[in-house]
Amino acid sequence: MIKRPASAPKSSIIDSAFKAFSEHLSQDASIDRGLVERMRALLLEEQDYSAEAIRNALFPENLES
Amino acid sequence: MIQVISITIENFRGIKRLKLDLGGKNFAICGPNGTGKSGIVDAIEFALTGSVTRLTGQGTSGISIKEHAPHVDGRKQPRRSRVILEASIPSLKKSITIERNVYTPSAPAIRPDDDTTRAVLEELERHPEFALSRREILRYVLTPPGERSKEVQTLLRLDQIEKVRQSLLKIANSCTAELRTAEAGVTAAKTQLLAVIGGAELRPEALLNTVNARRSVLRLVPLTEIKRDTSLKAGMIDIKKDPEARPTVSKARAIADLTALDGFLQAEDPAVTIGRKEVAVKLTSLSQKPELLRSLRQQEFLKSGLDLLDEALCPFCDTAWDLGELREVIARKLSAAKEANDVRQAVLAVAAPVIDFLTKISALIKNLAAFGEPVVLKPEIAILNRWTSSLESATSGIRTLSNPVATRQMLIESWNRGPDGTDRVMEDIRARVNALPDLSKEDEAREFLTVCQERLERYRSARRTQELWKGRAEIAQKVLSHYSESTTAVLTGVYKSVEQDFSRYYRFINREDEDAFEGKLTPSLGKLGFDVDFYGRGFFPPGAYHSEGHQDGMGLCLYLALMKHTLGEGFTFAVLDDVLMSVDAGHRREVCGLLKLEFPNTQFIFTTHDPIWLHHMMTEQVIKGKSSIRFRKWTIDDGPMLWTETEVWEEIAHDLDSDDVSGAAGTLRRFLEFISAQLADKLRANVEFHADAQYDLGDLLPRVAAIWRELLNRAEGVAKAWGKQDEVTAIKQRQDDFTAKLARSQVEQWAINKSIHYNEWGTFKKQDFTPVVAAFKELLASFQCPTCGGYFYVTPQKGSRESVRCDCSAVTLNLKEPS
Repeated sequence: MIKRPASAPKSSIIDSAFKAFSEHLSQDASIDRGLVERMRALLLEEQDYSAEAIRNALFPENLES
Repeated sequence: MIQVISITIENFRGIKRLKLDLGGKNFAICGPNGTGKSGIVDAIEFALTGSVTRLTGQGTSGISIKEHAPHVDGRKQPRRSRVILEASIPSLKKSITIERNVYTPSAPAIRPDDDTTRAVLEELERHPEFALSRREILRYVLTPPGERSKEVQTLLRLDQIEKVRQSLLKIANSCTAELRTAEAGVTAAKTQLLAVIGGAELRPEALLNTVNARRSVLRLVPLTEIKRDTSLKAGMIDIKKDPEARPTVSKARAIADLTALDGFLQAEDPAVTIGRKEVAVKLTSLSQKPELLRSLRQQEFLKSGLDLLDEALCPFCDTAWDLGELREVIARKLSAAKEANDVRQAVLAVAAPVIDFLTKISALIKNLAAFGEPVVLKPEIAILNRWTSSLESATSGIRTLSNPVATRQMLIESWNRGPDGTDRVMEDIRARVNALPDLSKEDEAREFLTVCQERLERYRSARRTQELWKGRAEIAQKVLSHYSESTTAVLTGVYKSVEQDFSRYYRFINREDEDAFEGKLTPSLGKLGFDVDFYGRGFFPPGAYHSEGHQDGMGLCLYLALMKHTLGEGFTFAVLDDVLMSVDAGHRREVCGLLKLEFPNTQFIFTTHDPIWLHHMMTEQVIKGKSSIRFRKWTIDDGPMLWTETEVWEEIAHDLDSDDVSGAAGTLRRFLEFISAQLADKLRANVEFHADAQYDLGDLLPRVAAIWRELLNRAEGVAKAWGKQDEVTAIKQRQDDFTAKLARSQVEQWAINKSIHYNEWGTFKKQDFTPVVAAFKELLASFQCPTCGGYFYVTPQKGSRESVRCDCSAVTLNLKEPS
């Protein structure tokens, strides 16, 4: 089976998908603006797609409380 | 991307040394199985990526590039195992050379070594999908939707989209699980609080009245409301009591707690009774299905494993694993157990009142145990703890379905009883409670407010936790929902475009009978449905009605559509390794047409064991001129051996030097069969048709000789008609030469004299066979251009013959009479 290196960067399709998500999220008034911005920065700028990073973006407050 | 100009392979896989000049054009490698074709594919992949899929994919445990990519005789010298690839980069209009050896596969020597060249190489390393085998082609067609989604997303480099979705799903699920635990905590805390203040529901005014009644006894200011931070004991002074003189347990509270527990055990809520029975029925049914039970147990195991995966080694056997791959495998297995998931959901749907009930009883028993001595003795606390454990096990058993027999027994037989000895313990506790002295009104009130405050605090904390997880669960679910909706919309657009190209390609190669064909790619959360039209009768999975050959065609079309979408103009290079082997001849021609029409700027490298497929590619001009090689055999010492004149004559001479007439005769015969087939095609000889496409030397060479004689005669007549005496003389000389050589080969006498027939060559003596070899070597030269060495061919390939030519045009025999 052909395998891809784990470090492959995102493609333009991924970029479009994440931008669409960011836009979608920002249109939901019930969602905190800070969360919207954190998710946008994570996916489009930092490009950290790990569960840990996403969890921290969703719930930056003390997660163990 | 690139186009390959040449590749030099040294001591790599089964190849000692081989150089192929591809010239940036389509190229075909044909040969029987085991002659080294895939070694070339491996070498190309290695040169471009530093990896070899066949040595690193599934089922290659114990195999490594460093140890097993070198030729078996050179495995101790990985530095000498190397591939040099010359390529052009169309987008940059420049040429590069990549040299990579097995010792340092990740450090190729690149010339010119500049940033733009490195960027191209890095791009290639990210796109190893340029090489496609038949096995991989079928991945796109026949895999389940969930796996197809992964394969296609990998090809389109969209796997990060799925990775983020999986993370969001995992977070949402864990928040829901935490919320469920928090809700159980609220139920328990509320039950304990209600036991002290009385009543079935917690109402602020009832609590306020009860509390103020006690505060009045202590002459404390009554509370006007109970807020989140209100202390029920506000203003109360804790009096240090003499433990010897005053009891530490309030008789009234102990009786209240006992009464609350008795109330639950003796007067079961009808909803709980129904729920218990329904859950029990489902558990009975489940316990009779061992396969399903196994699946459920495996799910629990896998779920736990998924959460614990953070090590580089297996905790059981210390084998190294790829964490990402392992997570994917486990996630696939979890989603595959659909029936188990359905059963779990069905049980949970009726179990809510039962779980609530068990949680409450457990909370009340804990109230009792909390009294401690002298009301509840230490051995009795242990028994009460076992009781709460069994209730919690039952709750867990309902949720996980891990032990249906024991859980069912608990729900039916012992739901309202503790372990053995519990009845006696309860009686003793009751007796001790009844024997407790009554407290003064003031002490009773003080004790009430203290305990009530403790339980209220516990309840408040449980509520805060519940609210926290409720909020998080809602946010996680909303974000997941937005993510799924928005990315599915984007992917739908992508797949729509791929779907249109796929359908168009497939219609092109099957236009004779499927010119209305449509394919549908339907993305949905982590899955990619793929259905195709079957002759207007509806849409079905590709494997449902279409033949294997059609499925092969679909795989190629989908691959091409995906690559086009992924790379666009950058799709300049692809290796199709033995693909389309089950596609029939007619459709293969159409595939050639498709590649020429839709991908004129893409260099395809084909491997095939089928010479007829190679022939199709050549007649359809996908493969032109000398852009192909044919392997005849492979030896461990020499690697792939080509059907080239030099190699063959050298091999025959070597066999004769070794007195191996039989070996030499076999090689000569096979070579003559190979060349005769080529000549029969090039000269358009009239060969008797065989449906099995099997032709031996006797079928071919006499007919080739006959057509050549006929062509020379016709060329002579035409030259005379045009009045070209020089050409007439040259052709006559060629005719005489050919007649003499043909006579020496005795081909025309095979049918008359069996003793000289090629079937008997193996029995010849060396001195008898050596002239035979020389005669055929000379005879073949009659069909070759003395300048370029190429064999003559008739043009055009179909219709009226117009001329005989060679590749360099040094020889041209006109066959067209003046009109």
